[in-house]
Amino acid sequence: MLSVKLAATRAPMVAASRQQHHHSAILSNHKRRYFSAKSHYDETVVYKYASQQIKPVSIGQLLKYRRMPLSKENILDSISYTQAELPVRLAKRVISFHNLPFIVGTNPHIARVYNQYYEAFDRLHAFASIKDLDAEWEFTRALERQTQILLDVIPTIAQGFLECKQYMQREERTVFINDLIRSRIGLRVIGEQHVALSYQFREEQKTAKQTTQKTEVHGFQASYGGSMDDVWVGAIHTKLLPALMMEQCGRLVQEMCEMHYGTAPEYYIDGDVDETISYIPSHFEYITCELLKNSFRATVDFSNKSNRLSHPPIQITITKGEGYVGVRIRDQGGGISKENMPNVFEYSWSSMQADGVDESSDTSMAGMSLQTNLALQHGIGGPIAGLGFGLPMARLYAGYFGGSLDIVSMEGYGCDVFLKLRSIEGSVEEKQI
Amino acid sequence: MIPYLTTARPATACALRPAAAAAAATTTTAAQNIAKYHQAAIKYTTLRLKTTTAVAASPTTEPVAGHGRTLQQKFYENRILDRYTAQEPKKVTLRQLVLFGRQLTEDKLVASANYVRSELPVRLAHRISDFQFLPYIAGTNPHLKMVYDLYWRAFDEFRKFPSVKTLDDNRRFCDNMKKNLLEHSQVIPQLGMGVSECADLVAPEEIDRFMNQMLISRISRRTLAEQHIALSEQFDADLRTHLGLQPSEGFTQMGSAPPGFATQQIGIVRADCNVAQIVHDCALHVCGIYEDAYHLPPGTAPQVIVEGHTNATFMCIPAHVSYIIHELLKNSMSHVLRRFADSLDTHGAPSDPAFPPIRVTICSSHSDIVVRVSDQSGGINPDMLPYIWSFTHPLKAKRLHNFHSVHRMEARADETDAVSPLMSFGFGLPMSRVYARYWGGSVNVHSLPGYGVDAYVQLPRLGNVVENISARSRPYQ
Repeated sequence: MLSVKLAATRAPMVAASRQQHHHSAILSNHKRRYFSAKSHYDETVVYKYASQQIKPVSIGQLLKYRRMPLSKENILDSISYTQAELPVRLAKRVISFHNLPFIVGTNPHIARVYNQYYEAFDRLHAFASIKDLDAEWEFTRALERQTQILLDVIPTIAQGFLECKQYMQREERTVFINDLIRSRIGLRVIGEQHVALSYQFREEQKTAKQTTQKTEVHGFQASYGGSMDDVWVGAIHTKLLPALMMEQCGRLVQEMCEMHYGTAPEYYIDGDVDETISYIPSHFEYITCELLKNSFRATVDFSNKSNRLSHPPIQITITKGEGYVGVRIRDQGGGISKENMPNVFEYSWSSMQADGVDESSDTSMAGMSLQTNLALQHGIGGPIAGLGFGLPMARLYAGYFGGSLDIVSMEGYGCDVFLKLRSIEGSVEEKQI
Repeated sequence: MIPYLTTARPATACALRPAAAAAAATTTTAAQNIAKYHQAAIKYTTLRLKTTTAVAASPTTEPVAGHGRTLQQKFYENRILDRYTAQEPKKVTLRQLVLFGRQLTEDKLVASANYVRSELPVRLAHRISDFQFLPYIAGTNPHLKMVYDLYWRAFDEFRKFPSVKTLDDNRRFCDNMKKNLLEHSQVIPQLGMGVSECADLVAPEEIDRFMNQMLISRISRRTLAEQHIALSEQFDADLRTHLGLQPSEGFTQMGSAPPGFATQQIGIVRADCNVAQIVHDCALHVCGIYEDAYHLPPGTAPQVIVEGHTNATFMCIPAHVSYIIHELLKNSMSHVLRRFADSLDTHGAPSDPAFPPIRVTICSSHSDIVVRVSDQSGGINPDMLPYIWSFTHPLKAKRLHNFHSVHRMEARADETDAVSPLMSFGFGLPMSRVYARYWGGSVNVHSLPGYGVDAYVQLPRLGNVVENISARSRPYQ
């Protein structure tokens, strides 16, 4: 049955491509406006890339350049790894869409994401093998642009699948989304790592010539403890302070809650507040914000329902184990009912289905990663609220480097969330992801 | 798999550790396998000889008079077991127990006696059958064999007990049950010793499953027995009052109660048990025993703070809930004390808390009660973490040997006075989970290494969940 659908989706595209026979990697402006399946890509190229093996992201590769000032060779080495990996992964994403039922593929949101991936693939695979810094900078800028474009993939896909709920089996949808998110994490880890290294290299070059203050290239990077030097290995912050992270996310979510509901609970942080971990801040931040969003919202909702006079505070405890950090978030938001517990990690299931997404409030959160920014737009729900992606995605992120996310519900009282994040350190260099 | 029933020496190779052996067969040769088996058997036989003499000398293994038949003769009597294992246990809910006692007449009491009389052999039969499918070498362990014999005797006794027709019959029946309950109070230590000695010879998963089924069934039989005994005694007490008799006066005049006489009893069940009260009582008790054990001034043990829905009530058997809370508090308290042991010598005045408190939070929803016991004990040792639910694991086997110094253990909260809290058997947690699961609840533990432990007990609130016992694990072909 699947192969028939495949033929149906491919036929018009292949036929059109034969008509146009267009190899150029640079698209003219007017073609980019189409949101239907692009017909001018050369199918054979993407299949050729997609058929290659993916080399798993290795932590050793990510940490290769720590503790040394970056040299030109390092950057070229990094670009060759990136250039080898990204197009293959992008191609595989593109192909994965081909296996969706035809009707799902024609949904405008899903089609849009498909085109974004195809475009990213098209732009990046066409670069010739890079041997000098100028070409590398070209690629890095292109990579940055594509990352920007692909930022809202998840909310768009979420919206699309919500609309296509009746056309796909839940298992099929879950598998597709899990693969998409996991591979997206990998893509971004590799991509962001290289972009960060590239900027870091150029910063170091600049300061070698001048003695001015280091500029902050990525706003959010500087706000998590330590200065720029010696602490960053690309996108990995080796002395990340979970306490500081929780404090900032907590404040942010509290503000959002206040704005949306007019009231917000307090929160406090205890435990091993001085412990540090080596991790990618944007991941940590995303997970934390998702979890805190849930806790804050539940607390306010439950206070209303049970006519509580004041909100019990949210308790955040940080613990440090061997090579990982544990975070326990406790709220008194009434817990998750027994019937709903199996569903909390399902995609497109949301306890917010009744509320729906609320009106937008324009707040830009300086110092937060762009992804979190997007997630937190439009009030505490954000474009993803009510679309049921927060928890399953947070769990995928947590698990990506070997961590875990568990929720214990005490119905009628509140929830305890146990987050465990494994430090990205040399001791786990052999770990493949 | 030949059911074990002889005391022959384990000379022939047979399928020990079926799952592990099957896995091993793919990687080692058959010869290596057999050699490994023989080594284990030799080591085990010497151990067995040592323990057999020790066990023979101990007072707990007196042979019961009249048990003259050999086990080979018993092999053919096994067909009797089949009749009983063919029946499924008739399970009850707490509500049914409560409802039953609402209008307790002589007829109902007699009916209850007959239900218990016919139900106990069925449940025993299923467990005896489980024994019979243990690997041969495990079944010949003297401790396990003793439990096996005990069960066979009880099974025989109950199945041969005549039908109960009068109150006098019922009293005889209750006395018989009480005697059995007492005799079987050594089952847990014997099982503990037995599985610890067999740890090398049977796959841990199999032992854990065996123990879980044994223990849950044991709880269920004792619950039925104790409930009926409680109902009978309360009925008799009420009858005495009704007839104007003194408490110790016999009922020789009356064979049966006056017609229409009924009382209201619910035996060992409590319909609206206050959770916070149980926790308070357990906390007091646990603080007391640890203050004694560590020679602390009174009131200086780690504080137990109870919060949350302190008015919550539910239908339960308080003794069971007490046991679970007791075990969790004991774990928390002992580990907090151990972690801060240095400050034990130098801590200040009683009002200066040297220890972080243990917080117990009670949460009540429509259908469930959740009790969270949260401490700052430093967390569970990561090496032990995968095995906290196991009844037998090499890391624990040493602790299970502690059973040698304890002859009787009924796994009741009130018997901890007889056993020093400093002695750890390594099975408080798995046993607590058995109690919780019996009525459809659960116990979960989350460890925050370097900080502490959160334990969650979830129990159904309304008493409308059936007993969670199972039939034998391996039906005959």
